[in-house]
Amino acid sequence: MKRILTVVLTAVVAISVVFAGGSSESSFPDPEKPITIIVPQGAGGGTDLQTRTLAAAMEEITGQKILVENVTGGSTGTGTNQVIDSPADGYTLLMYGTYVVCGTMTGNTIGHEGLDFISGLSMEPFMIAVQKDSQFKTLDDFIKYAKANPGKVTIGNAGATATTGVVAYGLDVACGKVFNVIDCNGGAELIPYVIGKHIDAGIFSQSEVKSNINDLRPLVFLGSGHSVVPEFAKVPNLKEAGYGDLTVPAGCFRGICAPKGTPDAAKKWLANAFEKAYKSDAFQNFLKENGLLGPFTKLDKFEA
Amino acid sequence: MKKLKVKMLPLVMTVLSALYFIYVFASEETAMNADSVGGDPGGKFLPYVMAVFMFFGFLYITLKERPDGKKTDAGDRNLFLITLCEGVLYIAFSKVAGFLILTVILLYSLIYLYTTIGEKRSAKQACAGGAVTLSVTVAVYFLFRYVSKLLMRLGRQGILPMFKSSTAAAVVALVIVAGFTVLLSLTVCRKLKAKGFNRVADAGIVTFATVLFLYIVFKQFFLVALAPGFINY
Amino acid sequence: MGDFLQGLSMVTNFSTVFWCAFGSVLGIILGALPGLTATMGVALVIPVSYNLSNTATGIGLLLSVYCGAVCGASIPAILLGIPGNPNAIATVEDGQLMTRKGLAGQALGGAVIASMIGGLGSEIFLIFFSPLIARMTLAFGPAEKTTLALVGLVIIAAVSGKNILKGLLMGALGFVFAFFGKDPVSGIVRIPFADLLRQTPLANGFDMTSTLIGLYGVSQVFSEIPNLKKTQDRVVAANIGSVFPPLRKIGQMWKIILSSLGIGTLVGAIPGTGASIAVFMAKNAATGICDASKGKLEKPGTGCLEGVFAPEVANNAVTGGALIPALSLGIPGDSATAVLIGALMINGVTPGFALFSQNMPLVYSLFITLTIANIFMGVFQLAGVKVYPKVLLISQRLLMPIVLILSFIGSYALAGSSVEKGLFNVGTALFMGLVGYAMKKNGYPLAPIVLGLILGGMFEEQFRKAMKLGAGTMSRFVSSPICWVFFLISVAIVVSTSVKNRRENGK
Repeated sequence: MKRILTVVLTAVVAISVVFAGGSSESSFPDPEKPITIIVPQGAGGGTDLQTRTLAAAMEEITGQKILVENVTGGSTGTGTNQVIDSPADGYTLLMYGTYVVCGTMTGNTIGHEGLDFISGLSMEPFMIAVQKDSQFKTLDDFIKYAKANPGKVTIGNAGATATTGVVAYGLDVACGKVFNVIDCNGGAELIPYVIGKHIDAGIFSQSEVKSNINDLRPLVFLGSGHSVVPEFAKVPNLKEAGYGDLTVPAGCFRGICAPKGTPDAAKKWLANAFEKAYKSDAFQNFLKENGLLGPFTKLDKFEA
Repeated sequence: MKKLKVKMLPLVMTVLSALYFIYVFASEETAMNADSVGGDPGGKFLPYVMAVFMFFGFLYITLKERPDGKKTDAGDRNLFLITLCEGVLYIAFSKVAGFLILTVILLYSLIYLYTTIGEKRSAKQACAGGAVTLSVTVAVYFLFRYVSKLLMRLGRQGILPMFKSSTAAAVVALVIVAGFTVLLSLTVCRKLKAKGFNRVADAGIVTFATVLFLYIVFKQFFLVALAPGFINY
Repeated sequence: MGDFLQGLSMVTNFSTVFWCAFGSVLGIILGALPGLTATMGVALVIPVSYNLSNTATGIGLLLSVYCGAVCGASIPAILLGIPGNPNAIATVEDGQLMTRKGLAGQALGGAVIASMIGGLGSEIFLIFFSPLIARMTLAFGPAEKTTLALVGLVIIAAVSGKNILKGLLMGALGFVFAFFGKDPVSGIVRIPFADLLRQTPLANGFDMTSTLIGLYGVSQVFSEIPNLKKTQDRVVAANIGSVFPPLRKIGQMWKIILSSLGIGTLVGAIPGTGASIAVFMAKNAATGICDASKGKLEKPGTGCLEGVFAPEVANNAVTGGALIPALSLGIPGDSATAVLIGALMINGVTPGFALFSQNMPLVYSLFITLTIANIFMGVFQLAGVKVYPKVLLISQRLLMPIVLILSFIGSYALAGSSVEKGLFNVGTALFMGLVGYAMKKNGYPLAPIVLGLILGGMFEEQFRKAMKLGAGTMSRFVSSPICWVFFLISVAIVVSTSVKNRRENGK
């Protein structure tokens, strides 16, 4: 017993010393350590899909394992804080979006003050849409009816503190608080409720309307100018609909951030990898498919 | 202890329901305040309903049922408390000590304690066995980690392209651990058993295999960030 | 027909078959290990599927993992009494009882066959009635979902345990656990000492799967301790017996199979509901059918094949059901299909109406790979049926510590990259283990706690939304016939079960 013990212990010490000495690699990235992109929103939504497409393209190009993790809650503050609090080594990144600003406004996170910008990806415009058989044909119809019947008309959004929530409440206040605003749990819940006529109208991102084009009728395009999606080229913008003085968020900007203080070398590697992934066919197709706008920007070329 | 006339659990639950009611009453309303039309019953409505329902439900059971007077065995209670304490300590120290060390200690000690129920235990033997198990596990850990990392580096450099993905390296690690498990159980364990240290040998080899297998499956295959602690390579 | 042949040609190649087989095995392993879920499995193979040159092959891989994980969860449920994931939660009772009777092999074999029937059967619905069922689910608004959750909970209280009051109380306890964390409408944290604890993982409430692992895994370890000192005779389990349930028996159960299939498919198709309601509804329906069969069928809850078949048909029927809104509307039926939709889009398939109108060959290839996935799932799991029960030969004294560690690591792994969250989940599992131990010892059923936790969030969220839509009135409930039906079903179940309980207790 004793003899075996001594032999084993000696062996352990020897092996540990040998192997401990051989592990001084410091270049970014460590092939075994996965890079985690945290999406502060639920799985299956527009933001999530875009991140997963990007991550897959990036993994394909670099060979580095990329994980996408959905951390919901606290009006996106929980996920954002998890990134801010993680070590600034480039292995934990945040899918940043306009929604983070909303999280900052509700005091759930310090937002971009704790983050370093890596790259900007896309801008997705919003639309107000109704079920295709709805009595409302134009935005004007809709608002006039709501004003005539205060509290009767329901309007849905993807969450009280999501960007579409800001649009819904902004619209409500501008019209004199006549809407019954319903906060849903992401676009995936809102869509069937509007199609099933449980809610009269909804604030959607453009891709959500596009994939349900047979059931939804867009009333107004909230982005600037007109949609680049051919099907929506004729949808009027706010000015044309007669509400040019209404100021609400026009869409959701998305980009990638890292915790503040991430080493420059890591940021550079990441920015370049994201650029390659952004330019990949798969991601470009995804953008085109969903009518997303937005040139790629990287590192300091970004102003929040 | 005096014999209680009522069952403990429903009584405790009745009290907890009442406390929950007070907690809900004292907490702030969490409904949206930007709401102009209203209609949301608010974040306290259903908690109130549940608290009231549970209070009266458990009260009814407390008044109706009578205890059956079964007693727990002292040895069982000790084992229960030890298991619970080890669980709590495991959680408390995971962040500092890390997955590898703590899991070895927890698993080894529980297996040893459970398998020696009703037998004479030897603290010296158990501790020596634990120390050996821990060191062997750590040593093999360093070995397969070294091999995995080496393979991955070679994969990245394009010398062995099949190891570009870390999954391939994890397969190799799994083979190494499986090999060592067989080797150790045929050599060291057999010798120990021959000398009559059955319990220690069993606990040791099961711990070794389980911990490293879990490590490879969860960390290397499924990329779960297991708590690193101070043995991390 | 041309479309079908084109679809067929997309999948008749070695690589599709290989990756489907790989996915099935992986899925079964993931399903059998607590803490590794179908959702996680699908997410993990997305990069692999993306690298496969053929889109249909990639989708086949994803579907195989999904189906396999749902089916694999029955293995630990039957053998150890720990469901691998929530899908198998209703299988535990009868599965465990059968194992104790020495019928582990038949329970496992039955579960596989039931899963195959459920998977393939719901696929028929998916292929032929997809648009129709998708339209039907649109009728489910907040008010309807609230009453559906109510039915689910009442059924669980009724089928688990001998006292419906205790079942309902456990459901309420689950609700209370669900109320910790965020307010589902405003997102404001709702926990004690909110100012102090809002940055801790408690702000997101208790993790559902960690709770499940705690209630079934950890509590099992605590409950087994008094049994450890007995001599270790598990020989009865080693006697595996026949793995194929007699065909005649399956024939006799046709009503149970059909009702479970329908329930699973429809509940699966309603977004945001999931398998955990479906399995209990199926079991309850099966109980009714057995009562009516005048003794030809055995009653679920007594350790019989019927009690394994009903939930296992239903949970795999949910996979087909959940794909219905996912493919035809682009709306996920559960979290695994949410990830699956993402994966489809990465593979260049945009779910929704356009998929059916523009890319029929791909849709057919998807249906064919789903069939392959279901068959492989069955074949691979059956292949191991003789092997799995070997785990029962391991002494409880060795097995229990391993179960504890597996529960800990499983709940830890659910948290992703954050160590704090992982440890909080382990704490949740340990705490729920104690709760489960105390409740089980005193004769309270555990399943309603888990279901209460799952449904509590949904119930509150939808209830408040429905109230808000009605501007503070019950009008949305009153005006909906679906709500009336569900409400009456709930009342009927409570009344009939109480009467039955009273009669049985009076004996």
